[in-house]
Amino acid sequence: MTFEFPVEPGQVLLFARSVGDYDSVYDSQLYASPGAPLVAPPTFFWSCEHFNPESDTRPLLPCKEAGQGGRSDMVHAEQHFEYFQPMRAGERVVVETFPGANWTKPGRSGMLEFRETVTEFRNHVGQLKVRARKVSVRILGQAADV
Amino acid sequence: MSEFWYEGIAIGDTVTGCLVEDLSRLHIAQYAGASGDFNSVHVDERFAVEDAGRPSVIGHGMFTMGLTATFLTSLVGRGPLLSFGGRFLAPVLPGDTLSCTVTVEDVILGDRGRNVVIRLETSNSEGTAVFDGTAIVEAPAH
Repeated sequence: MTFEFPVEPGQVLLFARSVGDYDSVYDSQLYASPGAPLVAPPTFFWSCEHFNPESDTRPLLPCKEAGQGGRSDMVHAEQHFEYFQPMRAGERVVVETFPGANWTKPGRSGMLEFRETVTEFRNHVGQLKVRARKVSVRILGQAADV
Repeated sequence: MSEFWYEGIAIGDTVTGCLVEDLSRLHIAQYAGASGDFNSVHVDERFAVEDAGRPSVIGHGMFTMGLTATFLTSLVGRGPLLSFGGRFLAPVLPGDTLSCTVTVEDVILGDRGRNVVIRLETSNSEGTAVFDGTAIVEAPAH
């Protein structure tokens, strides 16, 4: 799956506030010139979900069904980011997600299945900016509660 | 602060700080809005309790990771962060007070100089670990 993530300093500011980061740099870069490097919280890239046309965590209102927001038997177990380039104001980052490794191992509650998802964020000429790796886990043969 | 922190750095150094006190549902909801993750278990108390069997709504793992990252950047500044990742170990609940202990695990030679390997352990007020992560930060050149 591929989609575009427009980098906008206002969204960076709102995300920073939500993780308790009140550094004044987020206010001062609100009117950054197009192409200027932006400071962003290390996990900001994950808010690309706002622009994911197939998002299963962002409801389309009105949403009256309980329990919306993705697979209920998978738990987000790990998250890793590698950083290569800063974001730039006005940039349209191309986000591509593809499956990574799958594996199983025994756990306290039974056999666990791990699924890896890799997401790459690239600029318009294809240069890699950030690589994210998400690991989800579920108990095989039994529904989890997240 | 960050320059000072790097200047005297030694393997084994630790710093502990508070990430959030008495976490509110409002704060979890604010993160849901900022991140775009409105999974019901984070924002719908009735669903979280009655359907998911949780004691209440729970914070996103990425919320805990984001709070931990804020503490990290408050220490090391806005210099190049090469990587940051970790495991989510336990759910975070409203009312929790979270603290993080940052430990310098190693100083290694990278492509452009010294890189500092930092471990980040975030726990609730009962001492239960909720996130265990590692970051690699490029140290400023002397």
